[in-house]
Amino acid sequence: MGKTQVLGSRSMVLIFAIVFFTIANYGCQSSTNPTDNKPLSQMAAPSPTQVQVPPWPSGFPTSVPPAAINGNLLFAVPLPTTINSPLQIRPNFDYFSWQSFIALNWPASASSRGTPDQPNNPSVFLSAAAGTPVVWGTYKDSFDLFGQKDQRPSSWDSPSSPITPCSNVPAGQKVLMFTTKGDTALMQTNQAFSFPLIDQRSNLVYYDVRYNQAQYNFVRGQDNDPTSWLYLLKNLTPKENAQFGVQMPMTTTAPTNTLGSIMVKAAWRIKTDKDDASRYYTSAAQIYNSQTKSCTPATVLLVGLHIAHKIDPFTEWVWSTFEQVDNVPPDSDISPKPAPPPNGYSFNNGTNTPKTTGGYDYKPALSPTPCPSPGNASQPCPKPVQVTRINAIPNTPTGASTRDFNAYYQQLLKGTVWQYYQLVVTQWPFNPGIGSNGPFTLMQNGGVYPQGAGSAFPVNGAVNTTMETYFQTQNDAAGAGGNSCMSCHYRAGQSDFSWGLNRRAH
Amino acid sequence: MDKKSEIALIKRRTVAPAEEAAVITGTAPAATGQLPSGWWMYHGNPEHTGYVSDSDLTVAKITPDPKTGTSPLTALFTLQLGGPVLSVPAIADGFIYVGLANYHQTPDGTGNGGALHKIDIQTGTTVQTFSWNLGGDNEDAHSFSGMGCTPMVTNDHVYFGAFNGKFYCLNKDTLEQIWVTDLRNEDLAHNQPITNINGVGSGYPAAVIWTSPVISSDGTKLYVACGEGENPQMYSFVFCLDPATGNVNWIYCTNVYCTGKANQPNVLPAQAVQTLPPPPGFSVFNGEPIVMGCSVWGAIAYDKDLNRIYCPTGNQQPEPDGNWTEGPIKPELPSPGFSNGLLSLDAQTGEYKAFFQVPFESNYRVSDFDIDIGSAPVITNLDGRKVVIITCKNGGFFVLDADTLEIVKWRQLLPYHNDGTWIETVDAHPRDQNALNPHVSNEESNTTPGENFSGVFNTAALYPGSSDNPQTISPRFFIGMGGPNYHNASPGIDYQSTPFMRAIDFNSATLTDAWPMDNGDPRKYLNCSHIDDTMGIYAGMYTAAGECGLSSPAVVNDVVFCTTSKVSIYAFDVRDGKLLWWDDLGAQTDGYNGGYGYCLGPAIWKDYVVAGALVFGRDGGVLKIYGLTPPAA
Repeated sequence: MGKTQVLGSRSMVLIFAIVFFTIANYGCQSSTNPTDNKPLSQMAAPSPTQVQVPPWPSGFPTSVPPAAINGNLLFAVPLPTTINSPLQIRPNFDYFSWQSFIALNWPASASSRGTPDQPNNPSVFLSAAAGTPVVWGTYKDSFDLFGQKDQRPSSWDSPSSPITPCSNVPAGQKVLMFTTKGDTALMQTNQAFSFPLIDQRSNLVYYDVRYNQAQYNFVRGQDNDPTSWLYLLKNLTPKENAQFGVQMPMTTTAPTNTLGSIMVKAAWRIKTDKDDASRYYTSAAQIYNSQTKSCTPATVLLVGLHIAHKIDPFTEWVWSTFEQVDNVPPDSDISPKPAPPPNGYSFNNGTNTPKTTGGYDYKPALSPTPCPSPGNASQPCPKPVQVTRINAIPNTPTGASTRDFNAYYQQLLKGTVWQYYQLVVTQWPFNPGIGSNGPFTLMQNGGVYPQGAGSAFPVNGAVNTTMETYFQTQNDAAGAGGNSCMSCHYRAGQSDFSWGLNRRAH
Repeated sequence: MDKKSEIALIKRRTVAPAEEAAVITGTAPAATGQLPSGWWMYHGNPEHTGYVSDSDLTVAKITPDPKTGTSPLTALFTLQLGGPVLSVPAIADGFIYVGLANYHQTPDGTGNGGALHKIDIQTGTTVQTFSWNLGGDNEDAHSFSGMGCTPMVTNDHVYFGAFNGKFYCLNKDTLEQIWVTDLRNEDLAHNQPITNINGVGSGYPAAVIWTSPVISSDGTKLYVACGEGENPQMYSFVFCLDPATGNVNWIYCTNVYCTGKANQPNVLPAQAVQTLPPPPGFSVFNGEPIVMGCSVWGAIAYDKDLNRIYCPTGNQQPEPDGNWTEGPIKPELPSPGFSNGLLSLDAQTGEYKAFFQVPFESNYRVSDFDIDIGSAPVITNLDGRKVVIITCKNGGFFVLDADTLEIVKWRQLLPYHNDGTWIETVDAHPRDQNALNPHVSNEESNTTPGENFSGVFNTAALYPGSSDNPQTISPRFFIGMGGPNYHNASPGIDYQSTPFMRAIDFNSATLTDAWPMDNGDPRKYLNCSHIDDTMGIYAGMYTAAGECGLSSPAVVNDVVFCTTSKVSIYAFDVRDGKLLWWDDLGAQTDGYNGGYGYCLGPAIWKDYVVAGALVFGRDGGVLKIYGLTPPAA
């Protein structure tokens, strides 16, 4: 409609409602953890460790609750009572992102998939041994859901799936795939709608998509209702064609705290002798090579993590993306320039050569030969991609920017590998809602980004250098709908912003 | 590849046997000689100025209220018409006449055909629809089966041409067909001897009508062209028809027969005449023209004072670098015959009067090819002299003497660096045609022939100037920049350097920019975008990747409207380019470098602005009607 737009009165009412519920329920968070649904006998005995959490710096808004080291996912985004602009509430969303990061990277319970071990005991997190499985790492993999061919995906609690690419792999260990072009839709070495990434050690980067219990079960459907099995295209399509498409479960505080859908995408690179693993979250993995049909064990280093959480009232999800700090050089306006990491950057050689127009120097072939080449050790390793960050980590609002939150949380997490991670950006719908509650409109029904996607903020430039390396500029990302999480995933709006569901249902 | 090929990505549909809509053949009443006002034809009038003054739409009226942020100009109706709109609507007497490029609800149920809707502008109600099926022998190589021109509404009739090569006259009130003349296949009942289907059997497209019709000031003759730029064996013709009967008055072939000698009207290529001898008044040329192509797609302009018509022409066929792979390039310009230029004919007789071809030095890059003039000429006066303005895909803007077609002045509209060097990302010509968004050096672009997708594909709009405003405003032209984005080189224009619409000071000797610019490199308009602090949206020029002004702007009083490939519509202050208002019509189609989306320009009638588009979803098309709403009590 006519512009300039302002936040409509309906939206303001909505926001006030959010605030009310947020304030009303915030104090309940620690008592509504998913683990609370378990019998007491299955819960580990709590042994809380007192951790002194430093206060926020003076510039942080008072509407942001104190930071906490616990494994409890938030059930609402805390917001101020008066909202004048999306920029004003960036700190609230960055807080939400960091608390989600901590909760999802909390050591996982050994007895219950997708739940934290002693979530209220900070020492469990702060003293976790290297390679300890974390909550999101025990979520079901997209292969578990979409790669089972004619078989029904196993239940959430099942330790294995009917089809696994690597035999004799310990339950829960990651299987990362190197696939050749055309092998499968699960192109775990190609970035979404794009190309592979090759690190400075000439190794491919591997991608890992996982869904939490609510989302997995929603797509898997109910055993007694085959029409609810949405991993099957015949069941998905009618639901996609509904006015607002598929609607997955949403985290809500009403009537009780209920965890909704969370999808996570991680980027891993292979650990080599040249790497300092103490700066990374590491995991044991099996690298499946579809050419040789064999699996090779490896230790992988977490270099990027997307978190998308559908949380009331943000029907268009809240999108957070993190990176390991050694990926690429810091933003050019950082002064003084920090010294390069001791073992060099993961995706940059530390010099200005080669040139990185658009944030990269070249796009590797879709099916590069891994290093070393299976069966042909003499074949040269692929050339590393030189990567730089085009979209700076936000330095606004002044005094409480994403950079400021990073500095705070990195200090808070000192002594753990998580101090070496940084929030790159949080993106959320500023004017969320569907139907009578908001403007969400599917593209096929005339919706236009960003308005139709709930007025995404920031509109552009929300990418991760390890997962959208080649989509950092608007020009390069035009084919993906834009250079942000929401502009891209809005194109899968009929599948509730899930490209996995949209593209991998069969 | 030209714009037709680029934008024609709509899926082909099953072709059914040819079947016409209910045909009422007859004769229209004699013309009255009174031309209507308003947006009754392409760009508002036979001179195609695109200027409207009998409207309350002004800067003051549409500027949003600073307190609420809302503008009185709002979307009154958003209509789904059953297919994409690939043309500017016409508006007359409170009704919109808009054609569809493809119509999904054809009477035969195949979805292969076209339609023209008549819509009440005040209620948004479609009151009549005229539709046609398309037979298998009429399948359009661009997958378009409907129409792509602006209808002309005059003397109680609606006139338009379609992609099936037929030219229709309908009753304005009922949309019942009065007559139809086939301009692709011989139609001797209408004194039409041409059969223009060479090469169709080899897979090339048949002759189609893209041009919007124009009528003489006395209402006794109408002009339309029929040809095809993508078929190296196809001829191109300009037809003069009797508006009352559809009978052909004269025909001019734009493919020159003999070097250095203009064709005579009514001398027809023998290969395009099946029935010999042709009807009285026609003769045949038994030979090969010196060049094919030279098709007229842009609307023909008419000037009553000189009694001339002006016909923009496309590129020659074959092109010198059509199959280039490596080695030295062959400059396309100068090109043979009436290619890449503007042809002037006597409106009464079709006699050749003058021809202008864009000069080689006007190219943005020496390696530009597939030059084309896809825009319509605009006729106006400059210092008491009748001039014709024409814009070109090579980025050129030309002011020509209307009589001789000699250049009065010209400029390149695409930006350069301040030191005069090319901008790498403007009009890039990658050697690797398959690479998506490659980074291309100037050296590579200048030595690789390529189509200029950043130039001008549509018609300039005139603001005639004013001295009764708070300050004097000089006459100025507004030109949409950029073509289709359905190609690998880049998603549309280089949005960071190139405005999607230029504003040119018409009085300036060097045609300088009419709006204030910054001091950057390259210099950009200062006021044409803004950040909406409440939404965080950066709106306007230089903000969205690939957003092209592949449209014909329209000027109403002191406001210029422009539509884009995003697909959006904008209003700017003609004085300084301040962004006043904008709206989205829809999204581009999905995938591949952003897909594609088109709105070829707004139509303005009284206090209404109407724009149709090709968009994602919604049967591929949408029509929005905007109007002034009274402020809330």
